[in-house]
Amino acid sequence: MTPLLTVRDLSMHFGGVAALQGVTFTVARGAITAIIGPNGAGKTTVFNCLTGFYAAAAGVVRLQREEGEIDLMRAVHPTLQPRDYLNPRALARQAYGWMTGGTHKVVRAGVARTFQNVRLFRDMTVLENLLVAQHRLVERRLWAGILRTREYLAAEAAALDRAVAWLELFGMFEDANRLAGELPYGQQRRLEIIRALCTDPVLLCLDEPAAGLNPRETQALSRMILRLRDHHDLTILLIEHDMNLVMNISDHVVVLDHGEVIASGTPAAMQGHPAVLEAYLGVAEPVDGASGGGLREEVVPVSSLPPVPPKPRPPLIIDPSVADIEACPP
Amino acid sequence: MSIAASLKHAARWGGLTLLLSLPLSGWMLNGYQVTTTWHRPLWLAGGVFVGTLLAMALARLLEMPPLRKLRWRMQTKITVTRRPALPAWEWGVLLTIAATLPLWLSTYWLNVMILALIYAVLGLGLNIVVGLAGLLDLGYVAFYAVGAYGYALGSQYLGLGFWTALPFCALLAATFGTVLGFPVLRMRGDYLAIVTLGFGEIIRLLLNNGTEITGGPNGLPAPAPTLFGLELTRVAGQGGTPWHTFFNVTYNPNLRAVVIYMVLLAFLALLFFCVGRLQRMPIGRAWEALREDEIACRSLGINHVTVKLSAFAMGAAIGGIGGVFFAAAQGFVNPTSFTFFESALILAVVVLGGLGSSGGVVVAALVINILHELLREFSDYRVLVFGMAMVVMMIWRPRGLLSMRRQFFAVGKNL
Amino acid sequence: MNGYIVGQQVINGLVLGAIYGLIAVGYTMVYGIMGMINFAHGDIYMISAYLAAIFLALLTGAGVQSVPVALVLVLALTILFTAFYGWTVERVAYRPLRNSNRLAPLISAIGVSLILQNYVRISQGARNQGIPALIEGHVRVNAADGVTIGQVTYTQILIVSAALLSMGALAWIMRHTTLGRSCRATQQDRVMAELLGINTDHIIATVFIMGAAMAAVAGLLVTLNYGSFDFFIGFVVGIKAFTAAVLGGIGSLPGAMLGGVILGLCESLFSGFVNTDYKDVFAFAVLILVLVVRPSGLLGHPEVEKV
Repeated sequence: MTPLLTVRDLSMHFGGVAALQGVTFTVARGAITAIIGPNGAGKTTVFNCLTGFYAAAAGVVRLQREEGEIDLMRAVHPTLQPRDYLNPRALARQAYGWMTGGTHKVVRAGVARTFQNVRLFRDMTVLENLLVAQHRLVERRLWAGILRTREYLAAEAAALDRAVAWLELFGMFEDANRLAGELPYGQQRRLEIIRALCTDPVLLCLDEPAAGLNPRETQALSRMILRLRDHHDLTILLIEHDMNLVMNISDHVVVLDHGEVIASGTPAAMQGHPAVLEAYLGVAEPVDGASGGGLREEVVPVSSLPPVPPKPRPPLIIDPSVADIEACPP
Repeated sequence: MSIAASLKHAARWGGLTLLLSLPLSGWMLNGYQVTTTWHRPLWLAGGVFVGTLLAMALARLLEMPPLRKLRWRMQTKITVTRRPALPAWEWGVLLTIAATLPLWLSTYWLNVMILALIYAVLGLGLNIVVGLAGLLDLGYVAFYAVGAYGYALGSQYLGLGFWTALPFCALLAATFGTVLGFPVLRMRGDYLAIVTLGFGEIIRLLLNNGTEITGGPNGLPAPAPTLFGLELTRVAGQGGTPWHTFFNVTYNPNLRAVVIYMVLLAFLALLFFCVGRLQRMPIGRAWEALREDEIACRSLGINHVTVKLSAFAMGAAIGGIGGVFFAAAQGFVNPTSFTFFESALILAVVVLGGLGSSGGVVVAALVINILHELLREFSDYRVLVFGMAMVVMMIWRPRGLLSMRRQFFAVGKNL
Repeated sequence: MNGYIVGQQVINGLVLGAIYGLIAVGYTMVYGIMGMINFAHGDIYMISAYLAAIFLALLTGAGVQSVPVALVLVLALTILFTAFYGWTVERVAYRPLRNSNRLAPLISAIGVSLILQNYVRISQGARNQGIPALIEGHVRVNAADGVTIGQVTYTQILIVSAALLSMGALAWIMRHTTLGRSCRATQQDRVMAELLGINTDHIIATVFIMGAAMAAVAGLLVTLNYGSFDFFIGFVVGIKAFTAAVLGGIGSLPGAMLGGVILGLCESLFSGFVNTDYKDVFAFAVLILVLVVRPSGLLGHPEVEKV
């Protein structure tokens, strides 16, 4: 079976500094692939190149869809072929592409992403955030929207249904009409994933989805990622520092260091891999060989974790939109 | 803060003002000499001293328990609600009152109202660009000028009538907006602000210097609108029939203003309605999302350049229409109506009304214009006050004075 | 084409460019450190022109006869008060907005610009003001074959040398002092600089003060050279100086000077040989062209988007 995403010889540099050098890996369809590596290894840069935010200096990024193969790099940053130098239509297309950029085309090809630092539309409600993600799916003709034609209303209702379905799946239905900026941090991260899902992707790229989450939330997240893979026909590419999460849910791990792929394979194979240990710990050999050292010590399977006791009472969250605290006399 | 500390604080700001204003207000250039006017910095410093004290006293007062609730209420909040700001029947009453104004307003005040409504139209247009899409356009007056001159020149050279000029000038201004916006909008940063600032000045310069076509500083005449093919002037142009001859009534010089007022009012109501709908459509949500986070928008498949461009062009088109109304109402156009101060005035309308709030913008346009008429003797201080209001609003109430409303969606569980 | 006219236009252009460069420094430094256009900077320059004229009139009235003494005193006082204005603007209108959304400081800046313009208009009147010609005389510039290709007034020589001197001083401060190092650090990463114990509020205020001081030098020099000004001069000059800053590469000090000189030369040659009425249109076209073709400017680094 051909992989969903093929990345070959991806190179990128900022000024004189090489951020990526010949990065090559594949993402199998229906699998969870994790990119790990020390800080500054170039993981997020890979994401930014994949999703068109950066123009890579060289390399190929191919997405295999049922309709055919899409060359993501070419779609986002088209280069003019010498034979087209005098072709007015090609020139016009090039100029238009240069003016408008092409990041949006990646999403249309079926790749969605989240960000390391949450990027929500904070002053908009949860549902509005999700509707923005579905802007392509709702009727776009101006007059239809202004006059609220039947087709427009139907399309809007369908979009809302889709948004609500995802919210329910992630247990956030109750927050549908809250402002995104008011949500607690863990929910904001979840909302960002839901928003990416609302663009209807085949490949979901998550940039450190567990950063800042507590162990319980991380566990819920890993269950959710597995569920997306198993029941929603999604392929997932994730960057993560939480080795526990990576080792437990991923099918394939790519290790990056100094902008190069130093190893890749199954999670188990990566745990004792000398190059990986060197990159993380600065030593080539496992520290204590017998029971597997270094990384393995951090790895605790989810099943062996003690059950999280129910909290004695929910934390006090004061919602300024419903409670008028200052009005209550002490 | 204790009283002594407050006094000290106020004295510090007063002293600062005194020092700062000493050379520029304490002496007035008079040829190559200066006239001493020391009372002015003293007044200024005294004003700042008293003002600071009053502001601090007010803040202190609002801290007190009985007023705390009031202060909390006064904060600008975002409410998620399904209820419209005003129910339909209130809109009906408002519109009816507005439509009956020409019956009892003097010609002078009718013209004031026309200008106020033009500012409301311009404010709504600029509000799409600045308030919704978050693009700072400092040369909005350029599109206003394109509309006004488009009508005047169009009627002179192409025989364009008022009704054809409306869509024509809207299209023309939108084209200008597109051509200007394309190279700039793809970039991050605030280059748009300075480019539009320059563009506003350039359009004025072109109008001022292109004497052969635009009449230079003297300007051009702009014809009155026609109503169902009938002219509203005393004497009709070639081949036209004046309204009063057709209906065999006495000529009413007020008619032109009344007709423009009514058409303008209808257009404003329509525009208000459309902007409200746009805000709840994919395009409007995309504008606001772009204002909040451009990178997130791009990651969701939104083409940020074309979406920004649509806001910019739509704002320009509305500015152009405002220009046509202005030219038709004034009867002539000249470059002095399209200076940077005009742009700043429209921006002040948007900022005071609250960025993104259509209702606030219309109210601000009306209040500012009517106050301006009532306080004619202070007109020297008008722009100064707008400048101060902009700074104060940005620091104190960046979301405007009224609370923002967001759309509530009634959704049920599917499962 | 006459060699004399070309030479003269080149000289005028260099002088104009030196002034644009001085003002552009203020834009480029503030943009570098805060990522915002300080729209009030053009008006700070306008204020300095008024201050220079007032101080000059005061000194003359007080009986200071020697031109060099008067100039030095006026320069010192103008720099002092203009810097004070720069500091106040930052303190009152920008500092409270440090952590607000992107639009707020821009609108606030426009507000400040309106306040300054109208404050001057109300307190000094709307009509043109001026100062008497202080420095008379000029030197002829001859080509190798003895043909005169232009003349340079002493004022122009003063302008170019003062501009070079103050730019050199600023460059030296930025490169060799602790203050300059802190400025550069804050420019690269404000949060990190703050974590390292740099008082970034203080640094930003200093940047405004330095920018205003450079604008003050420009204001005095312009007043000396052209003699007349009004409350609106800051507007167009501000746009042009910003163009110069963009042309040279925003954020770069040598870029600001280079951009200023190139823009000044282009504008002077354009108005000399094409059309004087449209010289502002030409400068604006340069701005658009630079933004389209090379937004990072001549000496700037291409901006890498932080995702």
